[in-house]
Amino acid sequence: MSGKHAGCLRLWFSQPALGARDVLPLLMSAVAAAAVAIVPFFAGPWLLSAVRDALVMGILALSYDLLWGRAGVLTLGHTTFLGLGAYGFAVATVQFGQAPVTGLAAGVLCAAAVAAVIGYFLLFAGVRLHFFAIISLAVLIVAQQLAVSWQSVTGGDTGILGIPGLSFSAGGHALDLSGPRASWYTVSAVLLVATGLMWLVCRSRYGKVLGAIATNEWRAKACGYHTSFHLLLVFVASAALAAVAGVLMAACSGVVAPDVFSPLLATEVILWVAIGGRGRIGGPVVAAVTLTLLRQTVSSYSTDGWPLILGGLFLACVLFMPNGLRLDGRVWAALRAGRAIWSRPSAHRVGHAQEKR
Amino acid sequence: MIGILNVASYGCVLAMIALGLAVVFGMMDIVNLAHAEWVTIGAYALAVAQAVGGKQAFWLALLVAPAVGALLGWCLERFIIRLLYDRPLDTLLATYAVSLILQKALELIFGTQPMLVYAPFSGAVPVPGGSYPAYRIFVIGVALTVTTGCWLLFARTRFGMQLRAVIQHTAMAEATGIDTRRLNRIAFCGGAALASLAGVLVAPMVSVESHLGVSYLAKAFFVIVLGGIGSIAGSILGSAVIGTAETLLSYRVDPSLASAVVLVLSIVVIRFRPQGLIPGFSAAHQLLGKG
Repeated sequence: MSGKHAGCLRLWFSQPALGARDVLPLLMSAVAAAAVAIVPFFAGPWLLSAVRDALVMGILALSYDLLWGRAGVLTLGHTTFLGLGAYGFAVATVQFGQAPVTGLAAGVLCAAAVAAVIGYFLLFAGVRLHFFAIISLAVLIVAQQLAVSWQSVTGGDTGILGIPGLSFSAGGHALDLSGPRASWYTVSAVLLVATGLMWLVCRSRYGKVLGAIATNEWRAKACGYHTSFHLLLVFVASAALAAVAGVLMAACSGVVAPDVFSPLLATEVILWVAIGGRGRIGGPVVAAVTLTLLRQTVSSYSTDGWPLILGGLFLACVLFMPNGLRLDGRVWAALRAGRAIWSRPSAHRVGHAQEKR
Repeated sequence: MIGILNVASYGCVLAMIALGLAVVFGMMDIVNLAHAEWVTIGAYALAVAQAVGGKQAFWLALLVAPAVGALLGWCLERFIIRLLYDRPLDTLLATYAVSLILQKALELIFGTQPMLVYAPFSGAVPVPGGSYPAYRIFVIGVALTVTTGCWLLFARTRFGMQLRAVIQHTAMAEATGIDTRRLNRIAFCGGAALASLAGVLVAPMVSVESHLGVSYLAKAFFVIVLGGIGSIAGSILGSAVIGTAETLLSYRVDPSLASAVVLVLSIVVIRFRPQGLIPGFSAAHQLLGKG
């Protein structure tokens, strides 16, 4: 029985051979890894912490991209799971005095469990699209109300202060990840690993299945896939990743307040993925980091301006760029155009190129 | 008795907000997340009217606010939603953006502190088991009248028949000569006007802030999903159920815990009855029946 399952898993996640299409992502991830390793030696402490917080948001964007971009499940309350992760970590470490590792597990498990319950009841009932989005918004609002009013556990409006940083200790060795440089490396390592994992999953057969479900669930179902189950799986995985982002956020900043449940942040998450391009992997992360840094800049001038800018950007994005910015598509188009001008291809070669595509 | 009246006043207001949403949702397959802002706009219109004209300007606001709401609703339909008719999920996002902008714009214009509004009359009416504020009874009366009026309009008039036809099958309705675009616009403005009216009515009972409508919005959507999309009776029944459950629960436990419990209960109900308590006819059902 287990052998059959292992075979099944291998089939799901079998990777196609590396090809020309994979050169750009690999190159870009190598550049990103190098940049991440070098930056702490040049950036000041303030800039480092600002970019680190933006990278945490990048993880959140990645988790939402898995859910909305890949599986086509639109939710308006994705930050529920970010908040659950953050609060789970904070409550376990501060209120119950547990080790940070336990807090990490508590936060992620808490978010995954809530996602599993909500997802089971809704997705298996066939609730999709708008309905799912609205109900997730309601879940977010209720979570915010609970975070404010359940003072004995969540600390009410002020939230929980003095959250310890991440640290691991095993067999007498302690690994402290709470310093500015250590937390930078932790966050960026998590982001890179998560991005890599997601790239692998999306390349594999499973990514194709998810794409099929997102494109036309009826047909995917007719092909014999238990679509509700796969959507539930993706929902829970995405919630767990968002919770990891929440734990990192709480551990890095040391505070968690009911703001994490604000609909504003949930809107930003959607905007990142919308601008970065749904179903892409690098785009949403880059958009999240850029826009978070932009928000920090704008907020330092005026606190009221950001929601207005956000709303305007959002509206413009929905109206005029339903597929996101697609920067790499433009780069490719420019390269092709450049090559065409450079080499003045004959009619025969142009036809050939079109055929290949 | 007082409990029943509390349930009635909450449920009636919820029904008024949900009605506009339900019609727009059922007809155009559009989720108007900015609907909550129209409740807020109604409440602010009342505040402005009373700041200018004193306490008795309430009666004027009762007429003016729906007009303002309908006008703004027309603008929203004309300039944003019309561009997105063939992309239903994007309308959800676009209206979400609009609600964000409106909320912040209201805050910028009027400030973040709660606005001053007054009930047009005070006093209490004796009812069995105590006395009850007269204004709340007035609210129940108005809301009941408006809801019944809408139901009659929907069920008994030619216009209502056309609306139902569009909800059932848009293309077929168009083929029989109904101007669906025009009907959509009227329904959208009507829904916006209803929400603004509800805003005026609730304003003296709550604190008037820019995020006044948001809590009603989530409830109103639950009402629709629970009651059945595209059916007026469903949304009325849904608001009765949710209003009752929430009011009764909040006697026993903390109000936010009460909304959490109601939310969980509705999710469980949806699991077993995805088409809603009173199923209506709507294209949206085909989406729901997918899983």
